[in-house]
Amino acid sequence: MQDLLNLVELQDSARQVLGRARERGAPEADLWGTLIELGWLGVCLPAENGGLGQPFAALATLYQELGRVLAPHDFVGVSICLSALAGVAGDGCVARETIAQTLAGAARPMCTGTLPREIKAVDGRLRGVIRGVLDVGAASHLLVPFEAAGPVLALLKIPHPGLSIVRRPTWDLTRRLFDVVAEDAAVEPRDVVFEGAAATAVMKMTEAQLNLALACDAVGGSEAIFGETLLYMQSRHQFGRPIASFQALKHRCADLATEMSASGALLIAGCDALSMLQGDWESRAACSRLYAGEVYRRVTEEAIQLHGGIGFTWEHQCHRYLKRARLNEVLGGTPEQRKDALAPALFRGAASNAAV
Amino acid sequence: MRNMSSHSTTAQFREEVRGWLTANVPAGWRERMTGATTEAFIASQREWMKKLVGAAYATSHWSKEWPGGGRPLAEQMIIAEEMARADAPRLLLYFISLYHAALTLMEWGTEEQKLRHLPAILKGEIWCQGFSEPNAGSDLASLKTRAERHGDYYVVNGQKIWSTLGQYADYCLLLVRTDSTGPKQAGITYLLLDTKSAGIVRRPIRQMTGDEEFAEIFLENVKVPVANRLGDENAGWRIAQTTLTSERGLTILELCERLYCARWRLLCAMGEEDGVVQDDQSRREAVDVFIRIDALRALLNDMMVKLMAGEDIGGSASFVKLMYAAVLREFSALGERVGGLQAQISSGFTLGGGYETGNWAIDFMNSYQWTIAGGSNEVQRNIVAERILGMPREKWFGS
Repeated sequence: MQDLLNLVELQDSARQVLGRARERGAPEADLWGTLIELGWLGVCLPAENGGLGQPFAALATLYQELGRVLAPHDFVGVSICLSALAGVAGDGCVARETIAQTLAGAARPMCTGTLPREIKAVDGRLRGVIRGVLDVGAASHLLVPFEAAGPVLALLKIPHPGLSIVRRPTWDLTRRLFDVVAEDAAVEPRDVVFEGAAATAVMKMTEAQLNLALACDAVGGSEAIFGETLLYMQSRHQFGRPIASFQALKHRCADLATEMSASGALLIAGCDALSMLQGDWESRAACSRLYAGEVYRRVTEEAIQLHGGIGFTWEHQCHRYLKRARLNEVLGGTPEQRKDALAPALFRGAASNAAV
Repeated sequence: MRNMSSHSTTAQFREEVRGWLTANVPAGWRERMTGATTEAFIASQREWMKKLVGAAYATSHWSKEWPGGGRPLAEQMIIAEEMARADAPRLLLYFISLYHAALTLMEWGTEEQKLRHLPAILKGEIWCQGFSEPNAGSDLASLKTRAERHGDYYVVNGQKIWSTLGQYADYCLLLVRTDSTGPKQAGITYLLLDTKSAGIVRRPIRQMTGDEEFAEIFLENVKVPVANRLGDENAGWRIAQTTLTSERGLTILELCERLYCARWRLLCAMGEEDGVVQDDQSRREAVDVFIRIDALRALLNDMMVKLMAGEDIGGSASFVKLMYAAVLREFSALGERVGGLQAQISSGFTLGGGYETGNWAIDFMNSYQWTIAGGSNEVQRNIVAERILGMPREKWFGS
């Protein structure tokens, strides 16, 4: 067991690094190099993979900071992929090598999604589309889930014949969205990293991590734009006083702050549950994302209104957060679809108290 | 909950409490208390109080020189959690006695006052709170009930309102005005009022539910001995803060756990206990409410962890109260809606059964107690905005 990182210190140093990068107007490639140098990708990886073996809360801290500054999604995509690969890295297979290369900055393997039904393998050739995958434009490998005789996860080197990565322009300008299209893409046995029950288990973990990462993005983004809104309201004077003193506006801010504190608390509980594989950690991760996502959307909507005219302009940041919150909410399905998927587990938990 | 059952002794204590509750929660109390008379409810509360005092679980938050007192906060929390999980009756009748009166007396009372009242509370002395007035609600410090000193007595005139179960109380924690010349907070005195004194008229307030859980107290030339003053004359405002913060999160903890444990009632109201809800909208709204109940518990857990570490919780209590009030409202409103016509058919309410009895119309009505009482939502929002978010006060405020 490694010593636990102090999360407050981690947060401070992350905020400084990202703040400096933002001031410099650093291109994405520079930021990526910085993150590799700082070893952020290894924070939660096991020591045998060259990581620090920290609980998920450490990664969650970084995700939140990246969310604050509207960073691209590639760090999340790569780190989830590494976490999946770490599960098989014991036997000296391709995965272990890929992890080492990634930590050295020489590879960028990314996860794509968790629904194997979207791509099917027939006679070793993949067909299908995974829609709406974030920031895989610079990926060196893709971890592709597909359905053969059972669920399979294959790590495909990019470019891969028959596999295309198609850009889809979005309103959200802070990230890039792609479809991963497989048209008779061949899969060799050595590409396969998980099959059957192992693949299912890794997909569950990947899904939960993605849910928590998007919840972190929402919590970090909400805090950033809400903080900026409060500052604006203090400085903006009308009728001879700061608009932050108007009770009608204060109460709206208080309601947002209440929801933000609750969704932040739920997120921390969800991260802890995942680290300890405690209780229904999968559902808790899904709950965290749903709630934090909803709060993020409301905060970003209110931020524009509370800023007034300036909030409606292109120059101001507000719209960037709003668009990101909107896209977050529909990745991998609408909130309604995700609630439907979550309902049986939540209702089972609720019904279990009825026996008392 | 997180972070609090690491000690094996803690786990052991939980087992002990759980075992005791299994053996002692009166079987079938919900059925008996549903549609019960007030007299039957009072009698059952007295019995339950006796049992809890006997087991030393009623006074775990008292200081250690008193029977049952001196338990660490972690153990007090276990008692509250286990009460909720065992679906024990709430100890409504003695709530003010055990928390507000006892903790205020322990901090501010003379030896004589403590010895007079604390053992009596253990034997069932009932207290109520005489703080609010018809014109002093959110702005409590503007209270006008007057006390004039005449030798060894104060003579009190005025009116108090919203005293929980005040019609049954033996004593009342009374805030009175003894000085109107300076700032309004500086002229308030704290008295311990014997409700059998001459000149007191108590009138129960009938709520929108039809129940009578609160009383008005009219005071006309009521003599209160100076010996029954708590602290110094005109120092009552500060003492009142002790009373108002006496619960230290324990009540809201118990209520949150009760709400969590009662989620199944919503599934019942939707008529589908097997976990499959056909109606898309009901299903999704139930998921929303359940997620928010989890979030509420996580938020509360953070606050309790801070309290246990002796940290300042600042305005976090307002976050918790606002969130609980909102979630309780959503839960009961959804229950009443999906309960359809059945929820509109009047039927007996479960006295002492909490805020999620499954009698949806009444549960919904009672949810207003949490958005209005104990600092209304609007006051809580001011606290959040000003103390946590640092937003400026409006010019008139607090003047």
